[in-house]
Amino acid sequence: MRMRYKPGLLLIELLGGLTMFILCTVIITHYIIVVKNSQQQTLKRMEKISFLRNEYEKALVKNYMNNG
Amino acid sequence: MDKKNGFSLILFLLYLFLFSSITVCICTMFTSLVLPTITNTRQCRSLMALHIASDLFFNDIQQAKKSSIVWQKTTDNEIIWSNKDVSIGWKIDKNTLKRKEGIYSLEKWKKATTCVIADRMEYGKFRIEKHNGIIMALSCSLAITQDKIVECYVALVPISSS
Repeated sequence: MRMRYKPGLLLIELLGGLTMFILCTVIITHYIIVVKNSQQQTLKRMEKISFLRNEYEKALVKNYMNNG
Repeated sequence: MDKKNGFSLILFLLYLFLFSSITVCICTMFTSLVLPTITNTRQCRSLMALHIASDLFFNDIQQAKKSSIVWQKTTDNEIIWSNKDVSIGWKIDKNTLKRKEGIYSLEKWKKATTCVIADRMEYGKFRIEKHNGIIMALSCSLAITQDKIVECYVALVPISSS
């Protein structure tokens, strides 16, 4: 019986696979960070609007109390 | 059969080292960057949900201000008011903020619909500001942690035109 020669995994393939894996991880990480940043920006805006609204409402009560 | 040289031990160790370093780098990046980011995103979402809940509370009272309000109950964890023919109540119950709408008479709800506005809060509290027995303002504090508090303040005084 003749033995078949099987080259197996080449180093270049291993490195190629590894690079693909790293690339995928980096893309996913980047996406997660982008989502986090946009959410934080939205939250900051919401907090700012909420703060301003509260201050306005407090000023209304203060003004009413001062004017009797 | 052909003679096959294969990898030398030095080369194998070098590849192993290279692969291990890259794996360690990826794991470090994942634990130091991605996991805190996911936690932060979750907290961010919870805070946004509380802001939305506080907006709903604010709008509800603003709508009620347009007609005369009869206060039925004002406690730290529940407020109920009645307008012309409908009663609206906000309640903090087991770390959940609930809104009820229906008919409230003799300290009981009749034909009421309940909506969960926010959940998984650490605590929530209503505060009523009175002056000479008249309710001047209402505030609602909602928190997911001790330092992440969302506050909503609503003035109940009429806006002067001057």
